[in-house]
Amino acid sequence: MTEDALLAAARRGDHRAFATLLDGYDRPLRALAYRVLGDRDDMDDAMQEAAVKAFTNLSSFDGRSSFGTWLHRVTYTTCLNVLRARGGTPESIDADDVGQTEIRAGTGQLSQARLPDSDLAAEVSERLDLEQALRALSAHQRAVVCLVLELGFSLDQAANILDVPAGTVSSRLWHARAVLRRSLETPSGVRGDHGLE
Amino acid sequence: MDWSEDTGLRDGLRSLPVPDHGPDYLRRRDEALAAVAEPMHNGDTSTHGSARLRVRSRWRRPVVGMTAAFVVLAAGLAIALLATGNGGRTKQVSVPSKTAPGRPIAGAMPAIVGDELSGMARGADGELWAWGQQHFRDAMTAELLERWDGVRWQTVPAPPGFIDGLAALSATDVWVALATDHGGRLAQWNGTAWTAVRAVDFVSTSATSNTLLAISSSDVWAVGLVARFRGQAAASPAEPSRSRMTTLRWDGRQWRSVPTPSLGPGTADVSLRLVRGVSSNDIWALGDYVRFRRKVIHGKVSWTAPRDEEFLLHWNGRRWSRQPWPTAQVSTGPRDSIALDDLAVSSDGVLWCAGRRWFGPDNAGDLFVPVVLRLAGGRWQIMASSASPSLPAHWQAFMPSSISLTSSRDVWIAGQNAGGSATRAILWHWDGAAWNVAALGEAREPEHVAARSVVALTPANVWVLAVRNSNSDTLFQLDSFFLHFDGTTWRHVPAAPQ
Repeated sequence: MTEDALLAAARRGDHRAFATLLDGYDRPLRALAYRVLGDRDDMDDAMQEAAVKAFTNLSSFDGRSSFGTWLHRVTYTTCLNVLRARGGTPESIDADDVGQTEIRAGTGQLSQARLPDSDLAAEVSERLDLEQALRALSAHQRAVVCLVLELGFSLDQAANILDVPAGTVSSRLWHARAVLRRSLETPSGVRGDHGLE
Repeated sequence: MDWSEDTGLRDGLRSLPVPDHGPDYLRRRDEALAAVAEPMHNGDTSTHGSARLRVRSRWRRPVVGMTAAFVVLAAGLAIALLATGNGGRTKQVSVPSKTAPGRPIAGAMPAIVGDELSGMARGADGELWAWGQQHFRDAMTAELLERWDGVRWQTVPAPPGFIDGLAALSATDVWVALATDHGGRLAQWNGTAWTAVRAVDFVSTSATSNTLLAISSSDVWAVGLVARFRGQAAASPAEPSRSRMTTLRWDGRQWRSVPTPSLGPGTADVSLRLVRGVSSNDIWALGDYVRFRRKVIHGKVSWTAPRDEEFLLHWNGRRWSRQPWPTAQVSTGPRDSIALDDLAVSSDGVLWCAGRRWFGPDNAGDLFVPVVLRLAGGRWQIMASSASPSLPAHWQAFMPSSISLTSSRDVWIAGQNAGGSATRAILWHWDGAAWNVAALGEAREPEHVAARSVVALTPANVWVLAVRNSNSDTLFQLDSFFLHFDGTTWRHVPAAPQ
């Protein structure tokens, strides 16, 4: 069944068709929700709320963006609401959550790759570094990094999802890159400045 | 892993784990969907969990309150959409088929798989400059700089770093704003070589709009931010600010910092992303920031999640001052909002802006309409928009990216139609009386064509920079091309051969 057919069925109230549509976008939506919220339970809560919100507001989706883009937008705005409901600032992710996530994931993706122990240790270390560095970003910056760098959305698509101009996406990405690189970069291989001055 | 390149960062991010759902997630989600499915048939109000949901049987599309400008524009658009080729003033430009990717490069360099020019600026004597990046097969990138010499586009050696802005006074006096991992640089081209000028802590901030403006060889402006990163972004405005906006001015001998006004308490991540102007005492800059709001619960102070806001500055020859945001004058409701994507200033000092407009948050964030605004004598005026989200879908989907003008009777806006699975580049033109729309051909699914920049040198010499992406799932199947309007017809102009 094509996406258009599923969409048509969902518009008629077929919740199973809508669930099938959601399943097709589950991985990137999980990534977005988790990067913004930093907690698996919050991720699930936000995604469930976003699913219901998207289903009940399906009539407002009129094809100006792709369905996937629209779903990301609904999920992102729902995540922001979860952050607001949390009552604090959305800036930091609980360190314990990061560690637990790494352990959970380590038994999945990493073991599948069957890396040698030394490579495994190095890769886990790098991932922990990156997860740690992501904690330094604001929720808005994490969303931009996730959408553009991790999920491969263009600046225009990310702007559409985040409801901000493409220039804002670009500047946020620059802020985020600067923070991440300063947290992660090694002395060698740094781009720029050759031949200038 | 080398984190210093985007490649490493991108690969690292893509290898990060994303946790699976909890064990009951799918069951809970499907039950929640089923719970609201039944009332949906009745167009009723439904409650699920703690969230009360208003279910609309049909999206209301009220046709009220349209401005005269919108009526004119809608008429122009109707002409564009319905034109059969011999009516109206619509120019239909065919987009040529995609060039073959993967052109090999001699030596050890990997193959180029895409050229992505992202910005274009006017030079002197009809020259144009365009900048962006080349993408290689292994996801490496290199800077790309091109110059139109009146006959063809030619490659100019690019300085190292990300080009975020360019201002050309002549073929031998060109400034670029560069972002490098060691901070911002301002570099000058003398026709033969680049010379970098270190500006303290300057970091340019936008790859899609111009952060430089040259009025004369002794009056060049750069806008951006001063970064004081120490591995942490601001967690709240109560902490020392990690970055602030900056404006720098070149007086012919050195770059000097020019003070900017305070945006008030609770702001963070403040930056300027574009600067426009036509004279030394009439310059505009657009920026954005996040605003925290302070709250006290049981005596404990905390900060709410930040909101994104934009702001506009004006330089009158003596100082920068913050200008009123258009929403205050032209909104139709307390929750309306406007975001600006680009600015242009006419020789008579009128500011033109292209952007998008929302009508409150109760729409999952999807209902915006394009808006064109004009600011003259302190008064904002809507030149094109709807007073409600009631336009045809294909009209609403227009996302402006660039505006250029030669006078208040010759205004060009470039952007893209974001609807559906294929996007296409769109141009709007204001001739002083009506809007006309030029569609740059139909993109074939899943092809995406976006107009990134428009530069109107004269009414009969207009350039559009467009980028085509043949695969929306990746950033690397890109190629750039130009379209030129001579007052009568549009023609395709290839970018410089690489």
